[in-house]
Amino acid sequence: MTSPAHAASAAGPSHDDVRAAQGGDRQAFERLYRAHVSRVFSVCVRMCGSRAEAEERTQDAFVRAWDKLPQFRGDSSFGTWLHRLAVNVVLNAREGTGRERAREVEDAADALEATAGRAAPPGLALDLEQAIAGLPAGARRVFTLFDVCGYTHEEIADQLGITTGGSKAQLHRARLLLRQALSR
Amino acid sequence: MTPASFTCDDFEAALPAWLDGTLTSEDHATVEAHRDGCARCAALVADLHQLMSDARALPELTPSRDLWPDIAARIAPRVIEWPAGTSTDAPMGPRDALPARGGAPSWRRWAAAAALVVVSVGGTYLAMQSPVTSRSGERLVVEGPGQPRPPRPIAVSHPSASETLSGELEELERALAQREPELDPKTAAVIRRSLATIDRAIADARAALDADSSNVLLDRQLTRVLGKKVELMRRAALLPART
Repeated sequence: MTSPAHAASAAGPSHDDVRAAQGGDRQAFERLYRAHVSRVFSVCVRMCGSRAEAEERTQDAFVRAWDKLPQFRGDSSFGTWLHRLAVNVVLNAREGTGRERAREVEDAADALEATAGRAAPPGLALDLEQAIAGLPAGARRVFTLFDVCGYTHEEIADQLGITTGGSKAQLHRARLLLRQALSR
Repeated sequence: MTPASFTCDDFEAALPAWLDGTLTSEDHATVEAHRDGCARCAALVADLHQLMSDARALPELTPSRDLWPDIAARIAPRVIEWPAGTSTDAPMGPRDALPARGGAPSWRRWAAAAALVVVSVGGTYLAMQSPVTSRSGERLVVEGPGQPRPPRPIAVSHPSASETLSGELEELERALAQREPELDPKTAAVIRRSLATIDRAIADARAALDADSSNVLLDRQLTRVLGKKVELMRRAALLPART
């Protein structure tokens, strides 16, 4: 998985396509789609926990990107901009206000505590993708954004509408729960 | 934290900060001393490091199908059928069941603007295809060297291109005024400044035509500037709403 920092260096060949797409060139935008769809889909899958929903969110993200392209000023790479936009699309699709997001994260924390206390059924092996998908939504998002995508706690707190302390706590709980799931 | 009283629970509590590298050097040493002497906590650290490493190395995933056709359909320009005489508040289909909040929904205002633009494009095409006329309706012909002699000018009654565009501009102005509150304020300000510049050029061209109403070049200049204004207002009317 390419982190936002890595995405900046991967954006070189698409500069001309970005400019052309900003001017309304759909073929250029299709090339951008082809170049970035895997990264966008990956973050959508891991944040949604469902491939079917992730395909919808990926479409939404590219449609939103098309609409917002005129506002893209190149302060970050196109890949980084698109990645953040996709994260916002996922968050906005299932949540409303920041308060609702924070409540869901807190609920997820409770769910994690409860799940972590259960005895693991013997013989059940999960790979990391499955284990991530099985996390409660809030923990899954924090883990995906921090450990998979390379966001900072400050960036996560900003996007999820929680505190940096909440992000750190969620991350630690997610890691412990994943460790438990993977050791089954 | 002192090494002697430091328990496994203390270790787990300090672990996030230790992994983050935000502990003081003294606490850091205490945590590491406990890890080095406790097989259970050492295994926990090793597992978490492995998990973090595995997470960073997760491969990119691909959708089960090509999503581009659906995306392309969603970003394609849409031609909206808009029956003559239908107001923007008239029923448009199942989405009308949605409750209206704070006036017409933004998608409907956008759709109204889009429909107007579709009509406007057709109107402009017809206007620009019309022969050049004076504002009195007389067809005007430009003669040039090497050109076959044109037929005798014929008086026609249809409105001039500039008159047609002026009518469109009134409609587009209303559409833009409706959509303006949804647009990014900075973008709206740039649009308004650009329109003011074009308006000054229109006023200059009209003043010149008042002094020389049969001047073909001035009439064309007015038509050209009006066309620019129509184009800008169409673009503005179709801009996405800010989010």
